[in-house]
Amino acid sequence: MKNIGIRDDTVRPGRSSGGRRRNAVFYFDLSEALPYTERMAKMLREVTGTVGALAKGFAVTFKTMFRPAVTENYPAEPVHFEGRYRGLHVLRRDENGLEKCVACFLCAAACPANCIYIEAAENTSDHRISAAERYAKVYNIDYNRCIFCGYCVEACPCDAITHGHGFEIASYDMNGLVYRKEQLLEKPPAAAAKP
Amino acid sequence: MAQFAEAHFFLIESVVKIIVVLFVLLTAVAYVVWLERKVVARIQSRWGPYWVGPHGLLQPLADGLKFLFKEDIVVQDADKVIYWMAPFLAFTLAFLSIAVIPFGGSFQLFGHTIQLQITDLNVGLLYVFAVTSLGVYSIALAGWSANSKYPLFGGLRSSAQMISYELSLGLGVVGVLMISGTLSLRGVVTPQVGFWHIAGIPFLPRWNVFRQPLGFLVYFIAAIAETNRIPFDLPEGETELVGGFHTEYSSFKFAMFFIAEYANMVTVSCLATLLFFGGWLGPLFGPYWLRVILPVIWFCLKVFCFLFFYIWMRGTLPRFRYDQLMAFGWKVLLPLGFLNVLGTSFVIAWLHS
Ligand code: SF4
Ligand code: SF4
Repeated sequence: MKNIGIRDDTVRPGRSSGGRRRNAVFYFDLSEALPYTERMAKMLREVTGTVGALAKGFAVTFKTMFRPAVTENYPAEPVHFEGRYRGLHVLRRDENGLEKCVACFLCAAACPANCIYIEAAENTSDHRISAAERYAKVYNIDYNRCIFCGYCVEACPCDAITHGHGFEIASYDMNGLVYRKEQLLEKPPAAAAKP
Repeated sequence: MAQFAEAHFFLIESVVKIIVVLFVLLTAVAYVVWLERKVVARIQSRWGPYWVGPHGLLQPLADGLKFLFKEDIVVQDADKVIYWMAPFLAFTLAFLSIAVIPFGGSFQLFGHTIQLQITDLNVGLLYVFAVTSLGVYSIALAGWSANSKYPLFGGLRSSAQMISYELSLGLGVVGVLMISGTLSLRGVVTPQVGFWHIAGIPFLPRWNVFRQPLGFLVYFIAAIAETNRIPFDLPEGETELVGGFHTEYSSFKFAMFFIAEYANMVTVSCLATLLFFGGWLGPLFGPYWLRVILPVIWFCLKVFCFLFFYIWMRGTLPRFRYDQLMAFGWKVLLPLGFLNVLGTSFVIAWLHS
């Protein structure tokens, strides 16, 4: 019995059986050309090193046990969001309460999932929805397909479409996941609501 | 007539003890699972179960109900008889060994001496080893009967692993047996009573662990391997083998394996406590009833420490690779066990000469 002991991952050329790479573990070659004392010292170093490493690992996990949890206590407590969280979209209004979207279709074009559907209509002087020429009569986002990539938000020239922090959109009905403009639109500001 | 009453009393006593112990063990198993989920969660900076009941304390109940109501899927090409038998075997064997575990001293009731143990077998330790080593059959059979490759791998691995580590498990306790000279689990505790003194001041309880540190190390490591716990949980290694031997089990059959694993954990911890940590020994004070209760509390505390360590280890260590496992068992643990037996016998012989 030549091999006892702890671990030695090195493969020594000319020693392996028939040139086969032996991935040796807990394998300490005592027939090595080292003096006995040095071999013992090496083995002891390995053992103490392993024990030290184990102790360190156990200490780390023990300490972590007393650190506060990173997980949030949803739904018992409200969820905390980072500012740039990409949640449900919100269609914004300008300072006069008019819709910002001008129905330029850039968001729909940018969307890789092809999930934005827009129908444009002209603004008239007595039926003014947005500040520009056109407005979005229909603006649907299909959340069956949206991947929350944010490209639409980046593409929008008017900052009309943005990401909100909504995320509870699970539904038993796929149709319920096609959100309409009315669902996406920001609430009209109280003062601007009745001009 | 007196004999008749005696027999009756024995019967009632046994039944009561069995019911109480089984109830406690099952509850303990359920709450070890809860503890495990909690502690591992804390180690990973999570909350763990907290929704069902205060601090998730009713979670085991919810888990049990869930297991009951799950669909019981039987694999089409399974060897039905063995497939059904395996979980029952695992379950039964896991609970059999608790019968000889003493968890306290004894007390007087209606003029009878009642031992806090279901039965004091004079070969208790052998019995425990026999029963737990039969446990490998349940795993091997489960792996085999499901007729699917991952369970088969898991079953094969565990057969090899448990047979290898059982040697070390046995060797680890031989030192203790030599010291105490008995196989009775009650008798093993007796020599551990008292303290070692330095200049008349008691400084160290006479626990076997201080006389047999190497034996304890070998026993404990082998015991972890025997119970298929991390870092030796190759039979069920979920990253490689899906679920190992219980991949094809669902519903309550799966739950039985699950319960068996934790019951084995409790048994092994009880054994470690009895053999190496003085069993139920500890400071005693107060009136008679307290002197009866306290040992049980000490015993439970020590077992709890072991169980906690088990869980803590699960949160800390990665899994062995299979060749590492085998090499460690045969090339390190087994020689260490032999060394310990050899050393102990030399010391004993020297002390007696
Ligand atoms: S977030 Fe991405 S996928 Fe979703 S609507 Fe915008 S562009 Fe399309
Ligand atoms: S949301 Fe922005 S990009 Fe999309 S149509 Fe309206 S203005 Fe254009």
